[in-house]
Amino acid sequence: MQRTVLLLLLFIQFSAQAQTLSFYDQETKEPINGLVLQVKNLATDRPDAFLTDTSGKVLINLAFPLIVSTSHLGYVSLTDTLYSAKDYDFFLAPAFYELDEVVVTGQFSPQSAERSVFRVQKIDRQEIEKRAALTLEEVLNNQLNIRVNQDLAIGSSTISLQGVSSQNVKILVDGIPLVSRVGNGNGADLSQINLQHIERIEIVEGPMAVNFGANALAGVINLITKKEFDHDTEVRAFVQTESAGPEYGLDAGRHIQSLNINHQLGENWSVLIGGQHNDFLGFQGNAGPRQHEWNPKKQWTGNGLLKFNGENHSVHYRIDLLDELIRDFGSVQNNFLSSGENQPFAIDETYDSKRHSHQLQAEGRLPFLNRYTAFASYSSFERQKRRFSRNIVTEEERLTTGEGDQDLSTYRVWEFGGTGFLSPLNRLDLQVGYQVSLEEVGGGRILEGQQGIEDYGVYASMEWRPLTATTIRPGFRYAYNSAFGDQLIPSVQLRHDLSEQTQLRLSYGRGFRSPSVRELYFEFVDSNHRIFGNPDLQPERSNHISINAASTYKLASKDVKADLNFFFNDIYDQISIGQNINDLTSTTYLNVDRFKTLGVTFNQEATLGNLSARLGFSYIGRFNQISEEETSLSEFFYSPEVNANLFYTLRGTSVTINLFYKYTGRLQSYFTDTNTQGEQVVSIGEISDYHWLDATVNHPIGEALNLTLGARNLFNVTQINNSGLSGGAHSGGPSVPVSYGMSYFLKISYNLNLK
Amino acid sequence: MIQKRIIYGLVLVGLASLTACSNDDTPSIDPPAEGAIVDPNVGGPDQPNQVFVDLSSETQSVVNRDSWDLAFYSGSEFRVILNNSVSALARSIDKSDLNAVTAEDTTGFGAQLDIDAIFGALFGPPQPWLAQASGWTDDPSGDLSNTAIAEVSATANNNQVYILNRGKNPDGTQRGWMKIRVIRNNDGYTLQYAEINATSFQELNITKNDNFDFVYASLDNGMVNVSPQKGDWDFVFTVFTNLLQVDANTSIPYAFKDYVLSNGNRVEVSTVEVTGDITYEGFAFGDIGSLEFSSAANAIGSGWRTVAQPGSGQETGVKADRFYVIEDTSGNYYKLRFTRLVDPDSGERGNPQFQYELLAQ
Repeated sequence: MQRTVLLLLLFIQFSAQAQTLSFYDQETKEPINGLVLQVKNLATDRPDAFLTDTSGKVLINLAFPLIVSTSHLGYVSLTDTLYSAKDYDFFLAPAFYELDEVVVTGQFSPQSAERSVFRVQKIDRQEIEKRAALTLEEVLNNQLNIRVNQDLAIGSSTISLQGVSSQNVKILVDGIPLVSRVGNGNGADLSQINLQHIERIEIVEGPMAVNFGANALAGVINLITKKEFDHDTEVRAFVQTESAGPEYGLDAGRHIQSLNINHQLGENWSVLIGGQHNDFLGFQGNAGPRQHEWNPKKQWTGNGLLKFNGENHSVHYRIDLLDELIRDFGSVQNNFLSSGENQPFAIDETYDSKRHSHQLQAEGRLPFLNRYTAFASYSSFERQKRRFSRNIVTEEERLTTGEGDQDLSTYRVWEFGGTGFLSPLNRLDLQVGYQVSLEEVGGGRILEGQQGIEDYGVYASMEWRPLTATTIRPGFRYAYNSAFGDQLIPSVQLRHDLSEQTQLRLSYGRGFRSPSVRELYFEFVDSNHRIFGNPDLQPERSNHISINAASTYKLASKDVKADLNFFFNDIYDQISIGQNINDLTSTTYLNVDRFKTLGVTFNQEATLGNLSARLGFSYIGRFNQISEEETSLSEFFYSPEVNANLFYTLRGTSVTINLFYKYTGRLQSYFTDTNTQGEQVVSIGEISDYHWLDATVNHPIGEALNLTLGARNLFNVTQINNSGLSGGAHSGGPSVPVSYGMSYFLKISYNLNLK
Repeated sequence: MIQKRIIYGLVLVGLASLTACSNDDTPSIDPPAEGAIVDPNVGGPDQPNQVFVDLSSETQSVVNRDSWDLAFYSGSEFRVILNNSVSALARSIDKSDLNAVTAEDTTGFGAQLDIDAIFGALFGPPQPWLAQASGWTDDPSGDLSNTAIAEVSATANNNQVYILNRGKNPDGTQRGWMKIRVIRNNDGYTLQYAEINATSFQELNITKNDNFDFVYASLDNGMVNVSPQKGDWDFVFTVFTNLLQVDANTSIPYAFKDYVLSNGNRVEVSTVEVTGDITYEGFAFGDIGSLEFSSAANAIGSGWRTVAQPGSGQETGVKADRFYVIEDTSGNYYKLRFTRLVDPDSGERGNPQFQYELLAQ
């Protein structure tokens, strides 16, 4: 084939009346090299094929009229009829769509999401850019099956996935767990996860315990960093400024500056360095003087990458840094001295979090392995809580001395792993791997101040294709944990292609969550509380089933991708706080609860001319614990979610208008009460529903500049009601915080590409 | 420094009772105090002290809260109350002979008749006994018809034995268990008490004293002085075992720190919300007419302060949106505001301060 093309090209060179067809990238105006052009003469029906050269040109010497059609992995195909024999210029739209379909999470080799045995969803860089999202929280907040929870006191936001809490959602960076204050991958504060260097986000719902071990019971969110660069030198810089609700100014709102440079060093080496400053100055709202409803939060983040690309091996070192300071200003309190003079003071708190993680990753080929990957990483997370008294008159600051006022919590993890891939037989691929994680956790309320946990795992899985259309992937993991011993986790996944357009997937997996160090070794005693960890805890375990059908069908001659997914999670031995039977005056953590979630998700996605749309619906049922005793009560409470993303390109321009919408349904729960007759009765409470809408306009100006203007939270949601509350000292409050209200932003970015 | 500041106000415990006779029927001729800023000596985070405050004489009387166990009403009725500042709890046994009560009668009490066990039970399987727990402490309103120990009957045999959990010392240690029984002794009381397994008991005779609403007894030291005379204090800073509502109709005993109990029925309290025109500084005698007063002991309670809670933005401190107008035991009107809850250096609770001023006609 290639030879024929070359021969044809040679032949054409000698022809006198050759016409030139030139192909360019619509956005960069760069010539497209290596494009396959199929040409057919209308009269003779004789087909020919050509390949563009480095200047994006094809010379043809054929009789017109001709039908030409293009084919290139990176560009949307074009078919056209050329009537007159002259030169033509074509500008092709880049097909991000196809390139970005590649996923890696849990795959034997990078492949399209459609080819994956299990269902992988992804959010690409384009969408991150269109939302002007800076942190993981800001892209996940309109994702189906995900609810974001805000904790105003410590300024964190966590998520639940498929109705299962954040402790069971494992966040990975290039497959390695992201260490946070509360966990190795799980329980992470999404607002501390910066997206500056993230190329795409892959989400796999359901336990990926065979590949990723503990704490992925609800699923994994894998952040894939940018490691491939198109140019010798690239500079990416932006400034972004946002209001916080109606509050804006030099001392209000949110201001971001970001700079990122990558450079190719010779043929094999590339280097990247970047930094970002994200300064949220707080939202005062109805809070008193000095105080904030949403506390100020300043983040500095930095990244570095050094990469070697050899013939058979590729190795990179990556460093990620975070320094976050949250300041909680107290109200002014009077303090009268004996002289009668008032020296007012305020009790302020700061939370200073520092994370640095180092990853060394390698992948390549070995004589006996088709492919291998290996990594070693060290991550350290520290949060220093400080409480101090500030004299408003003298501005003197002094650390307070109460118990727990000053506290350093630390989480340090060494993690090693490796995977080998081989194809011992036709139609059979095999993966074997190991993973070691050594955790060391410290803090004021942890027994003896510091505790360690070691976890060792080996795993194997295979992809076997007994029929061309069918792939079966069984796998298992054997793990040993220093806190609770060993266990064997199986999983099996099946994929069957009903047709080229329709795939069916079935997945069964066991998942588990290791008890956290806090649950094992916590220690907290004050006048009203006596809480102790339980070193005998077993992991929470689950069974997960999902059924997925994905299909592409035609609607008005356009492709529509549809995805229907059903899931069921059955979690047992769930860890919950409970009364200690050996010391009834204290509470501890126990493997007592049962929890189940089930749900169905339906997504559709299509591009119709200038409009690209995604519409999704999900319906999640959450188990009612009370129904175990009160069998007359319904076992599940269901909550609907709807989301829609619309991207519209203005005709004749590259300006896009983007809408991101989500409806989050009410969340009901039972709670027990005692009525006036002293009988236990069950009531239903609920957290209200709400609508979320972001709108952005993206306007490229020239080659290098890009302007994004937008509004977040157009429905101006701040708090939603929570009626499912009984009284009590720690019941939170009658409302749940969502946001500080409708906000506006402007982002100006500058991209410079050299060579 | 705090100690120095309170010198002007310090009256030693017992001084009140020494001067009782001379003061009894003679109305005070001293003019009422104009006002002051007071640092009650609650004693820091463990809050070891109960501090009785008398506004008109600018005095505070300090007593260790673990110095007593029971208080006996001096009025016409025969009533006994528990020391709720240490979260003592009591539960009756259907026997009237103290010696007949053994450990067998108290099976399971350790898991129930204990402030921490009650709280712990919220996290266990549903416990039917939990609904009764509110009856093991005295009604926090101070209502004497609703106390843990029933009215002491004139018929001795009707007075049951009670198991008393003596509560917790300020340092968190347990004060232990006793079995007790109270009977009438002419116009006074006799307290019978012993260790749970003892086959004999001790007795303490208690005489009512009209100068006091209650006379106080310690199971270690017999009669002790706690509160000043009934007309000589307006409110007391104390740890207080309140009832905490855990669902619509269940309440459990739960210890509140930095609680302010007023001298119920002798002192009237009005809570004034600070708005645009109404401020502490601007409030004058003429404004009193529009106020509503309460004589309930918990009229101030914990309503003057906030405490930081997990998951909320609330911080530990005083509520700046309110002040109080108090008609004291001598009929003087004072405006009063709490200025702070925590110590400006240590940041710890149990270091309140308040400011008050006489509202002159």
